[in-house]
Amino acid sequence: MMGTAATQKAGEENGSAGAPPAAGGPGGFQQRVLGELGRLQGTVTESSVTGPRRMLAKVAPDKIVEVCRLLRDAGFEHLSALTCVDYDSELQVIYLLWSYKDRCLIELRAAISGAEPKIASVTSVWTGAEFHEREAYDMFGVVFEGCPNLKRVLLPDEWSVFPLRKSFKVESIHEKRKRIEAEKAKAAKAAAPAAAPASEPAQPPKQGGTPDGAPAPKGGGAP
Amino acid sequence: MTQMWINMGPQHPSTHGLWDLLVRVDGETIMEAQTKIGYLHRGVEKIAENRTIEKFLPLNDRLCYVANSSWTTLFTMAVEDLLEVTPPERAQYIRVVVLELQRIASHLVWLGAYGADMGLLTMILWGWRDREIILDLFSLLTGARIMHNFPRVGGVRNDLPPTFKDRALKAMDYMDQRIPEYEDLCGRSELFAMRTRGIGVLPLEKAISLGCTGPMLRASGLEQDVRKEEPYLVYDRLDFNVPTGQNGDGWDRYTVRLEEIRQSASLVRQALNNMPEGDVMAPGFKMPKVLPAKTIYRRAEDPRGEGAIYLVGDGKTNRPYRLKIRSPTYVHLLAIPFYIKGARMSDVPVIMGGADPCMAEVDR
Repeated sequence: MMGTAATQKAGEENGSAGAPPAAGGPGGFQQRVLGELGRLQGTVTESSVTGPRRMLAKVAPDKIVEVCRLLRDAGFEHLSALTCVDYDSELQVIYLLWSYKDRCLIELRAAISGAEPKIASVTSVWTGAEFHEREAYDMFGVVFEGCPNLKRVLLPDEWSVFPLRKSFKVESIHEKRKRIEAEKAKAAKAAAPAAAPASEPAQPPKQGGTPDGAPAPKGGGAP
Repeated sequence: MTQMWINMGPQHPSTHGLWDLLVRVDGETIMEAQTKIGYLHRGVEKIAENRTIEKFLPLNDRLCYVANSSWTTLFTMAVEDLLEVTPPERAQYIRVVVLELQRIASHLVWLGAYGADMGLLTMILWGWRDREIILDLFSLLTGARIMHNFPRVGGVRNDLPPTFKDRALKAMDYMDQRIPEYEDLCGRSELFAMRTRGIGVLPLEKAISLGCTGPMLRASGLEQDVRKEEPYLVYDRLDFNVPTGQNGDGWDRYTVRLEEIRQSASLVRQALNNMPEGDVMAPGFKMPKVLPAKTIYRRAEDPRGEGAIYLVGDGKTNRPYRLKIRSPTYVHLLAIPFYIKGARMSDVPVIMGGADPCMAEVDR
């Protein structure tokens, strides 16, 4: 019984798959949002619809709070995630907002300088932004001005590096092994000429028994 | 009365993992709280930037030790979006079976731990006993109980074994018999009701503003489910309800999750019965040497809430340029200080447990 219900439903869905979205559906909503963003000359430099439920906008970083508040009031109630991407020339702060009612996601990108990463906090729009901003600060060192509790969250407080920056290099296990072998070889090479004259006086205690120079092995002491 | 700070963690029976909730108490009343996490941080996002997609795939199983395949499936879906591959229909149905079995297993662990938090130790024994039946199914399907490493980019690793369908259907019938027993044990217990009703209340507006998702948000009254609002795989062809609560308290979190077990059992049945024959891997698909320079944000309904992956390809290498994992419980745990004020000390484990923490996923 359950099977037939599901297949019937599947049929209906397939039938209506090609139909354009109803008025007020995701398509209409997207156009409305584009219109509102288009009015913000100089604040939103670029905005587009990238998929059936996806939108993208590039925002001037100094106006991010205004844009976020406007979008929240337009229906994007849920801050799904806030993160950063480190392009070598700039640091992009990414805001991913979801609208529960109109079922659409908008991605906001604000490009800031990597050398002096600073942007206003959106905690006044979403209380939960604090958690994402703390993580972005932790991993990228972006200072969110106005964030009430901007401190390390996943990493220890005393760390001074921001590990998700591209300048923070991680060596693979092979690279690590190679580096350690190279260091060892170098140390051995450096020690070899220095150790050569010293090796003769070092010889007698070595013959005496244990390699670490422990006194009187019991095999020698017993008889 | 003098106030003092108490550490509920990092090693405490009610944390269900390695995290710490610092609470400032005035007598028995909580005045303030702070969440401390990061004990399990492994830098998964950085590791991903230094590995090819195939090499990173098994690590996704380690993102959550209770709902492993949920994360691996989400990651493969994100990569499929990036590469514009569609897995064959049969693979999509198999994924739904795996995801829903995983949801049942995860919720059973939660229910058991939640019961144990308030001294109902029978529940933890029953929860883990019945989870074992799901793990046996995973063992049959993937060869592993916990770390399945089963989904692949473009499909799943192997087809269902011949006996799988019968055993899974039988297991779902068994689940349907057990759910009323849980209801008898927890739902009809006056003590359970007293320990959960009106405890840890999270109003809807606050829940949305804090970014809570999944069962936490549904308990607060919003009918939100990524499987419904942005259907992936074949969820749009399957019939299921999204349970909601009204008060957003510990009791609603219990009823919502219990109903989800029932819905998931029904989904497994539907997926197994409607599954077409065919390939389980996209025919002729090969991982490209270079990922396209594109950005993908893929969301999915994890047992704990909205899981999502933000994936950036750079068009030069076969490693992700950036991988962001949006963990639902990360938000839920950091949100606890915003609604715990005024609770009693004895309610703290119930509030902590209600968030369903899974630390591997929180700390990543």
